[in-house]
Amino acid sequence: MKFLLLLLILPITIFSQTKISGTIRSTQGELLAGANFFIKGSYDGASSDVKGNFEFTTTETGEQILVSSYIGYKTKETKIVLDGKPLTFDLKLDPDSKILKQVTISAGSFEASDERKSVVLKPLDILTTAGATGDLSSALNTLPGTSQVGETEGLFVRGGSSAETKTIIDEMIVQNPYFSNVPDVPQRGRFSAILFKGTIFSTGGYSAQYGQALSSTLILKSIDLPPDTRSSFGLLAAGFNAVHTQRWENTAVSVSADYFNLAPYNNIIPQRVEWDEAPVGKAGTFLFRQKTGKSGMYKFYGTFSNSQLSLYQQSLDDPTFKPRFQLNNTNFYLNTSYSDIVLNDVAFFAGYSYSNNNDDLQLNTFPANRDDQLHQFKVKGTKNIAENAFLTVGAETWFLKADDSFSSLKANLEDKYYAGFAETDFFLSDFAAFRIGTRYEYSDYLKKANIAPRVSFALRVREDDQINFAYGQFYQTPDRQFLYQGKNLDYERADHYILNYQNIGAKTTFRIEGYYKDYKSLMKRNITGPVFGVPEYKNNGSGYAKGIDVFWRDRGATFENIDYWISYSWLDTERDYRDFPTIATPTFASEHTLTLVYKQAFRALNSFIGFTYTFSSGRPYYNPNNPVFNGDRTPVQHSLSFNGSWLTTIFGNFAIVYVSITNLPGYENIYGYRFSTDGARRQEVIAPALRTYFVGVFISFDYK
Amino acid sequence: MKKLLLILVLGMISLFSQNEKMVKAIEKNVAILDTARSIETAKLLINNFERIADVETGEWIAQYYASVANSAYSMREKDNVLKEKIIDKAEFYINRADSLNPNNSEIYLIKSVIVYARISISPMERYMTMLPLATKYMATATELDPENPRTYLQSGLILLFTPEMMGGGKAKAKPLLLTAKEKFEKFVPASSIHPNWGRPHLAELLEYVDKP
Repeated sequence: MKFLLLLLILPITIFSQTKISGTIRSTQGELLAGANFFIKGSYDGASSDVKGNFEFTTTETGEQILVSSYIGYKTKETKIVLDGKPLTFDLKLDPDSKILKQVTISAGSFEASDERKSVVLKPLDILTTAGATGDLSSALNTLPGTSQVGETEGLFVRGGSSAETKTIIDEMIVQNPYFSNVPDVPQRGRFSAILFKGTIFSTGGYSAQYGQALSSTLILKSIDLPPDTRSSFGLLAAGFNAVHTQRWENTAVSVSADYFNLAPYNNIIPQRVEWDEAPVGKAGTFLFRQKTGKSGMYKFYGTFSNSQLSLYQQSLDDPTFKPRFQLNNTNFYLNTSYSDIVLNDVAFFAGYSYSNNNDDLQLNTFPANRDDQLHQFKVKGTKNIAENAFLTVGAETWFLKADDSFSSLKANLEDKYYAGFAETDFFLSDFAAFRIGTRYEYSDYLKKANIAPRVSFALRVREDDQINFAYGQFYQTPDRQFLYQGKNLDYERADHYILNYQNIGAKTTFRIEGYYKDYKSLMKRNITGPVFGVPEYKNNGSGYAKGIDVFWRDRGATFENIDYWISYSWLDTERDYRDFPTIATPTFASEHTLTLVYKQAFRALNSFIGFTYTFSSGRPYYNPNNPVFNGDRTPVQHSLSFNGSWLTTIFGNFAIVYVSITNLPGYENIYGYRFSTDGARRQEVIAPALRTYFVGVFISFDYK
Repeated sequence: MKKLLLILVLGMISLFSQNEKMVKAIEKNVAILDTARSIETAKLLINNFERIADVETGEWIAQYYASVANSAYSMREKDNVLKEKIIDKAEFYINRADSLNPNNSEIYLIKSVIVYARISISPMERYMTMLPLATKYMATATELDPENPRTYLQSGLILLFTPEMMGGGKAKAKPLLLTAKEKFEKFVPASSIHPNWGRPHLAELLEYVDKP
């Protein structure tokens, strides 16, 4: 009995020990000091020393797993058998491509993200850029490749019109990202920059995952889970805004309401637009986030807005005639998506978006209405198919229904659009990256299909230097005004060729990019038939855009709290399309654009100031008295904007006071001219007000 | 009967030896924590504490120390991308600690330290959006245990390196650091492995404040 007892206790007291030792390097041969080695499920382990050597003894036995890990590298698990015999290992770890990937595809794109290393802008840069007042596209207008078009909203990229840029939120299309167009009164974007954690602004050559944009895409990624429960209330010069966010461990709900009324503001600040009823509007948004499991995320975003305004325009043909323009807009947008890692290593995404925009217009005595609805479904999956390669495959479908009416005339259309895409990204160690993709599209309305190849390539020539190249074909269904009128239409098309060199250092960025865009198959009005002829739209228009964009940014490298960037673009573009009688430069393109953005933080005063200066050479305008079509140029345009923000506390709660003034010096910029039908009289197209003032106080309350 | 007793005894030995094992392992590393100076020691502590925390997933103290080791090292990492990843790890472990032992002053203190560390990666951009959260966690930590010396140590440290024009500087930080000293003198940890770090660092700071 005593002997048995001893036997039972013995296994506890006699430990079998195995010595484990070895060296650790990266796959590039670098010794790794401070790496962690251990037996999975046990404390037994050690760290590697400066020579990359490690050694420890373990009392575990049998089949075990030796784990090797080091931050920035992929954790390695090795199966071992522990039976007392010493084991030596010569281990190699691969860099974690998500962190240390030095090469990133960047031809034709600017990424703003807190997550990635080689980015040019941070999301908060957008909020703090003077002249932007939190409007995303105004801030993006300070990057190279964009033309300053003061009289209308949108992004005009590399000789392309604003319709050639598509806005995408969380992979889903946003049909109406701006408030509805009002003649000569630029509208703001609908989305606040605070909503987003990342932005990729591509000025060309974008991925096969997106389509229907001849020039560029603005890809926005919304925040995942807001950090905590809080309420905030903002009092603005022309309205107010309230947001409440409730955060639980894996769930978040956020609700916001906005109201604006520009009447008091328009009474104080002199306006050059003759308002009848100044813009008034309200909007509400609802946001829901749910984390599911380890890697899943369900997102829902819905927004509703209603706004109205009316103004008088001056007729040039009859000085006594002032037609009244009235607009009542209702917009609803819903975006919901689910993403997760499935089957071990496939990143899966499925989403649905719904856009509904209704413009109820009164054009003097004529009523008009534009209504469009878009349903979109999209799925995609990304899989790691080899050591350094990823494959993304996906499909999407859009159902578009549009109804337009003017007085008693009505037109409507329905289009079902289907697209599929496949794209592969592969990396050659850490010095080269390739992306090859194809997109297939079919439009039921056009009864035509297209296949668009896209390829990008990035080569790291030195530590911080990269050369990037991209080529792609891009198709876009013609604007609906042409779909109503034309028969047997086809897609409009642009082929992009882009080459750039960039140097991204710790605090500086330099980029120079050259591009050539070949426009084919553009909508063009042809007069067919005898005598007066009948106008018919066909896809026989064409054009080109070529240029060079230069960008330099110094973020605190020269002066500690000063961040500045300079962007310059040279653009040469002409088109023979739509109603152009001959090939000519379109009115939204300027040959030279220069922007200087300056920001300075005053940490001692908890404040921030910024200035933005832009210069652009004159843009073409149509003058009926000039035999050369679009032969005239407006004078050069400049603007200097200021913004400042100050963080303080009001009754113990954090508050931000924000002030912004656009066109501080009061330059009278002329964006173009309108002519009477006989060409005898002309009117300048100018901004609705000489300067725009914005003041706001935002208070946020948190909960203990 | 004897067999039953044997099984019982063997069972109790394994129970005690497991917890004792963790306590011994943590004690060994906590002894170096306060005076860790070199990067090698800092990395060693991270590895040691993480190994313990990954096994003892039900023990808040193990998670807490894994977070402290990562937070402390994060301020030394110069590469911002790696720094962010290290802070992510610190946050991961402190969240585990928080769910195992909610409303704990020491845990909230580390949560605050983590937010300050994130701000330091990109101060100009993150300052305005993250500062409210950092101060909220710090206030919660002090409120949950007004006798915790470490909250005064950390608050003093932050105030010390805040510019004078914004209400910071040596003169303003000194009272907080002296309060920390007073609290440390009275402080007795609940066990040999409950948080008890900070005295050597405080001594250095007090010396620094007195210099002109």
